[in-house]
Amino acid sequence: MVKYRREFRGVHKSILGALALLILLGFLLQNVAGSAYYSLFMESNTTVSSPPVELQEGTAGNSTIYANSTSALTSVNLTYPASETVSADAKARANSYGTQRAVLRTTDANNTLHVFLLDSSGDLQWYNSTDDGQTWDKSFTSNLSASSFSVEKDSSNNIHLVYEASGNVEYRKQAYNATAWGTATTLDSSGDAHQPSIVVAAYNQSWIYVVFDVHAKKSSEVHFARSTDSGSTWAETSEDITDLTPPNTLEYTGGDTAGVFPSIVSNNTLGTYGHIYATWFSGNLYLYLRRGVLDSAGGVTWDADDNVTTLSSAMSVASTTVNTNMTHSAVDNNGKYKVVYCESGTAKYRDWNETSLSSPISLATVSNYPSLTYDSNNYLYVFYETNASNNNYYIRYQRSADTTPTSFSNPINITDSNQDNEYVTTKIGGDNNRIEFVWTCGNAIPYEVKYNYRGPGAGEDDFNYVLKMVEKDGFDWKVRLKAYDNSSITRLNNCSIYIYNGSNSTQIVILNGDYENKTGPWYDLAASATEYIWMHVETSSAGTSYVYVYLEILVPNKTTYARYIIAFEIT
Amino acid sequence: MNLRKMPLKKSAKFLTLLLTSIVIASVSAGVYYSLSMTSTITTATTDVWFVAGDDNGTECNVVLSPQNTSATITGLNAYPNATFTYVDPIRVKNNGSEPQDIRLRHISLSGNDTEFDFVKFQIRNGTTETDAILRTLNYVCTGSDWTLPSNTTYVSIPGDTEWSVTIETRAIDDAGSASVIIEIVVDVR
Repeated sequence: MVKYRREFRGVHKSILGALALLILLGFLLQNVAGSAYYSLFMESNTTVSSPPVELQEGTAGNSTIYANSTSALTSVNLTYPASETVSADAKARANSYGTQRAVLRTTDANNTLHVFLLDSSGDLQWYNSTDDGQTWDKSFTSNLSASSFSVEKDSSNNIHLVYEASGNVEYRKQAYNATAWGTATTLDSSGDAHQPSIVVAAYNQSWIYVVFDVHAKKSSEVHFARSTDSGSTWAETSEDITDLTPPNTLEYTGGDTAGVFPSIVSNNTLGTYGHIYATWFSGNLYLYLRRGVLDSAGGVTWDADDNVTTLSSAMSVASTTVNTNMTHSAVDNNGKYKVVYCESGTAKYRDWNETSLSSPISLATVSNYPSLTYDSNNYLYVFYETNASNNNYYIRYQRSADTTPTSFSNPINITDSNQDNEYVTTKIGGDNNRIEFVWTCGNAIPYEVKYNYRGPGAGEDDFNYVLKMVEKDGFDWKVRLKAYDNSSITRLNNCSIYIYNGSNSTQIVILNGDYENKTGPWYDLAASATEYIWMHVETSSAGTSYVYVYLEILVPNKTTYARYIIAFEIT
Repeated sequence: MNLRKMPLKKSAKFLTLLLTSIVIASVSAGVYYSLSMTSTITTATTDVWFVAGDDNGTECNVVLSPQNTSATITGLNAYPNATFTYVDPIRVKNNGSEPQDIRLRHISLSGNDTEFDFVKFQIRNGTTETDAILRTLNYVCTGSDWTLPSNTTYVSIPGDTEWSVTIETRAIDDAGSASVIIEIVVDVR
């Protein structure tokens, strides 16, 4: 009986255990089932529809439109023209220093290109090209000995030449297609005159102004001469514009120097008859600017002493050996005087609107012997030589990011050979839609003088237009571009993508390899309207870059939008 | 009778005991008495309901039930090879002061199963495009059928808050005429 009880107690314990398990299970089930909730019901009805906007091919670049016209691949190609040899018999620099090469274009039927240079014998030679720089010929055989020179064309395609010959400054006027040198007029016969610079007044093409360096032992001055009859007669040929009211003087008397390297440019938008600007290196650290106000007869009233502008106070000290920190390059463009000069191997840009002088903008280091010019849209270009990544010098340029300018692009190489490319000189202005320039190449006399250009189709271009958007639904929309991915964009100095139909809307901007703007502003796309997408591209080197972009098409005043994909391939 | 000496394994013994206990529980349940309980069920409004979003009215139309507890959205478009986004067609509104947990749950799908790429329903942490997407119910069309999504997990919507249910659509390249009806629910607990 006891035994039976024990067995029964065992069974009883098992039953209690099972009951406990059941109760636990019940609680669990109750907890799960006890999560009370209610549901809000939603039904959606979605229909496949034709795209409201169609992408279509443009007239520039090469665009592939994919199925349903809702995505596209747009390819644009830039070319880099080969450098052409103008002459294989050139001096790199002459004994007395100053400008040794010049390039300009006349507006004759062939848009003739002209290059002036000093050959290995020291004679001034005149080359011309009537095929946009592909081939070059001497205009005539010349044995005109010169040390440095300056040339300027007028609106009648006359070329005005001033040059230094044995310490004298001479002037000659030449037809653009001359077959011999014209008659010389001596502007200075002191034997101490050097480095002449010439300008034709923008207001009156018969008014011609010249400045030149006069330096004897321990004295450096800038002299001035002018003609108001297109070079037939000259006046004030010995006026010293550095000799101010005593005791003021901008003359340098501290020691021997290689010169003051003066320049002169003309402005037609300020003053009744325009202004001229003379710029020179003082001989001891300073770069000065002095304005001359023209009168109705072509006469000049120079600004008083107190109004002489100091462009730089950190140039080179005087030296009998020319160096980059003595020279500058000045132009007048878009209503302002503009200059680049070099301080300790770095070119700097400033401009002056006669009221304020802009802060210096430094270009890349090393940037020796800078030469400044501008294109037809008033973007600035600074060319220079550098040895920043090469043992020998090579030619680079930097383009302004805008017309202000607020900054300059990354450097773009023109030459990358290890052959000593130096002393680049640009054509002033962007006529014929080209930025054109010449320089010397080689490491011993005789040097080569090379020609090349940049501009539309050459290292940069406008592609107008690459795509168009056509509204098909009969409704108003808003559209914008939004960059969402890319590859290899560091080589894009400028890749700007616009929407245009009468007014530009800047959408995507890549400057110097980085996004300046990834998402554009909304732009109205009216019912049944067509809008255009165009691009401006500048690259720093060969390669292929991709910019992937959404075209977003928004219902006005809503947050409902379609996204198309456009890939831009820049090769 | 010695139960321990029976040739049964422990598990068999346990099963026997379990069945025995169930039988005992059933039998004992047969004897019961009743407690009286009266329940009064009244109608009440929910704290969470739908409201139409800012995108209602032009590219799509939202029709709500009288209590805003169900909605029908018509006029949704899907464009070939282009994503079309309705950021704010309809909203889930928590009108109470306490947070509520909500989730998206698939109910049914009917219509074309070849011409679409996807239809997505997304709960946003707000009502604008910059607000984060918290939960997504993604219907993907494989070209011959739809892959139906699992229920989303719950997410807590704060009191007195509206969240958009964003709808994204896309049809395949060269899509032909087609439509699809998708029914989902927003579970609230």
